[in-house]
Amino acid sequence: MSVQLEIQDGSTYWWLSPDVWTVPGEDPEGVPGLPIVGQPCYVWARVHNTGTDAVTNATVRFYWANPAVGFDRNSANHIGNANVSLNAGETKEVLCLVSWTPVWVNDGHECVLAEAFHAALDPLPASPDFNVPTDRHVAQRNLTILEVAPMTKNFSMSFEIHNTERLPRTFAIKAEVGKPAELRPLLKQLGRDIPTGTGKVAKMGLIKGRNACDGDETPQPSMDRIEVAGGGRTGLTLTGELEGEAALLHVVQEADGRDIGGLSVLVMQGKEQKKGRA
Amino acid sequence: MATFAIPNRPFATEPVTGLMTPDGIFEAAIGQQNINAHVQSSSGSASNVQVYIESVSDPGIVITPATHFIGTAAAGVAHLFSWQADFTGASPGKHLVSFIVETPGGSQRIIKKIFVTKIAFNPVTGGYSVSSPEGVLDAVFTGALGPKNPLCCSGGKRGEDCENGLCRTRETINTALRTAATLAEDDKNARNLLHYLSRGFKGHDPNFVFCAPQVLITDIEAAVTPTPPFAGQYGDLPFQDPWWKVILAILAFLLLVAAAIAEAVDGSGTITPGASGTHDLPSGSGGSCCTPTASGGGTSYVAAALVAAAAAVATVAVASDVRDPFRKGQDHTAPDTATELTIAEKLSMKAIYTDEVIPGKPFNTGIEYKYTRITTAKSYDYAATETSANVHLLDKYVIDAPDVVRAYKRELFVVKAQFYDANKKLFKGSQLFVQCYLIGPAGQLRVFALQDNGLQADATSNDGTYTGAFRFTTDDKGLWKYFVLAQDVNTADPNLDPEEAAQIIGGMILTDQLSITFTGGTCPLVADGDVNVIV
Repeated sequence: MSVQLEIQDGSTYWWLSPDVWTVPGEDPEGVPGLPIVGQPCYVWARVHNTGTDAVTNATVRFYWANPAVGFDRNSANHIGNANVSLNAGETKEVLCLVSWTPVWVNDGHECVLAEAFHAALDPLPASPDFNVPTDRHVAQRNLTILEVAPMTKNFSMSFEIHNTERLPRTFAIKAEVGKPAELRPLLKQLGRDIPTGTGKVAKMGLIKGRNACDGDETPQPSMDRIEVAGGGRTGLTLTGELEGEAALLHVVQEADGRDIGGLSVLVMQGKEQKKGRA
Repeated sequence: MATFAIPNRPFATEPVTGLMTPDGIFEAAIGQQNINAHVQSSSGSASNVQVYIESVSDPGIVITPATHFIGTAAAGVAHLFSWQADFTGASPGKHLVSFIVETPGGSQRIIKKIFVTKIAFNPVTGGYSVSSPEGVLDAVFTGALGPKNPLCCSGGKRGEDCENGLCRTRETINTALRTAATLAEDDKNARNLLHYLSRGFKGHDPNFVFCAPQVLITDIEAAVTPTPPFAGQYGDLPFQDPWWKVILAILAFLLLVAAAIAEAVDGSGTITPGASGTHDLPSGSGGSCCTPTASGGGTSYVAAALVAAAAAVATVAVASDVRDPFRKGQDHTAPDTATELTIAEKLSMKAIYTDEVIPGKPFNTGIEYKYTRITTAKSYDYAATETSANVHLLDKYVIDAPDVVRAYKRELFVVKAQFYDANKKLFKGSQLFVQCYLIGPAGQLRVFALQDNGLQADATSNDGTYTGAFRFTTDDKGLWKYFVLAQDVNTADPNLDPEEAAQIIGGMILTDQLSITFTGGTCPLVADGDVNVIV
């Protein structure tokens, strides 16, 4: 008997799943869009059964997490559960009716996850780690949209990295430039258009700490050794100057030579600098 | 592609009796309950339909996943499905449930509201508090109507409590519950009647002996504390829908069920749902309340269910379906100024039973009540004596079932039932919740639902004939009694104005197997028939 439940990861950057999204507001079946701090929203997941047999009463769990990079089932915040039945080869959109009201933590940067499994026919791995890129059951949406005021090219976005393990760990963090077109698979769930024009980012880099105005540290495109105590966390800030209409940036977290987390930022020209997440 | 709907608000059935709670409202203190829903194709028909609950908006409600199947779902035909759920951690309020109806042509999501209350024992008042988002209702039952001799020793199980076949004098519930609360101080007051509801009864005990020292609530001291205090003449209804009196009915229903279980489990004779005013005479009638009796086991559960259901019907009837005493009190006590906030409403009510209480029949009742509105400036009173009648009516019902079933031939026991409303018109489809209770010779209890959906044993959908079937096994030899219980369903349109919606109440028992009469003797408890199971 073969039941294989899957929530798809993002194609290039796994944390940009097209299969996890949010619907802000009171209507769970309303228009998808970015969550707003202090206002309820509902989380959805698109679940596939790529196996050859049908499954009934599979479970879908929904979480939000802080910080955006480096968390597990114990440190992520469980939102709620849902059930789904799928024929072989079938795909369904699954709604978590427990609403999530985002709170202002981690400078507003939070991500949502969903995992689908059947306890008997297609169980989750025993580990508390999500292992998003390698485990088909789970997917993550970790995108921030940052609007930059027209008269100000500079932008900055703070975030944290978290060591969920007991012992100290060393992480490498790097910032990369992507293309807004990479977000096309997510468009339906963003609830907004993304600019068709292009842009580029100058002076892009990372600095330690959570305030770009503190100190005179020169932003670095990557940081090879960031030591974080066991169970601890540290803050970083992504900075740059947007030239043009929009640019997509990815922040990749590595440990032991492999990607263990990441987040993406769509930087856009806007009326005022503000953030939303999806 | 067929389009599906759930025409009525999904409703609760509690695990002890299996009956729908008043107005189908869920209660956290009970813990395990069933979520029941009628799923209906509103246009088109479909085959191989699956129905399951996808999600619930309160993470404190834990659903046991289950997928139900419909071979052929014809247009306009309602199918009843149930899901087990644990409401122990539920918060009181209005919650959403999403159902998925899947056909070969695609799936459809239907989101419905349910109401959840949370009852807590209040050791200070000796009463119970029921929380809803719009306020907290505190109620103390200070008087109840019961038989002079409740015959609690009829099963001989609690001989130590008996003297010449009579139960010893019972303590009032206030005293009993305070004592229990003191004894259970480290146990969060678990040892009160709610304890019995939440604990259930560990399966149906064939030795369960029913005792109902009190059968009707007569005197109630109730208070609503609105959250928040409100300006103007009218506050919100609980859940923006039912009257506050429905909450009282839920309380009466559940406490009577719990009391019966308490008697069966502990047999102390010290915990009863009434209070110090227990008496055996209907007010001023000169009559004597009958004694509900049951032969034990399954019949006792049915009797417990019917007594509690009759009490709920009576409580609702006393306070009238149209506008309850709280609302009438508000009608007559408009605050003097617009700046006053109503911080509490009190209701002291005494039910007057002028007629025998027979579910499904238009019995008359009376009420004497005093309503007090307490505002931030002053108090306002309104008192009245009124009469009303039960409006949850059945003209008659007809049962058709075999009197012999050959289990060795794997014959099905098929029960067909028709229910005629007060206008002699047949109830159909999702208008009723119908169950058959089978009571075995050794006290066994089996329950199954009857439906009017044209599937399996039911020949034709929506023809007003509700049908259900049960297969006896070779262990079931002997003469079984059966009771077919029908309850009405809240059919209020979710878009109705709250005042209009409140006037539609569901979950009232319509069938009259048990009557509470006032001529002494035993209360008539009449089975709908017997079936001899041959193995």
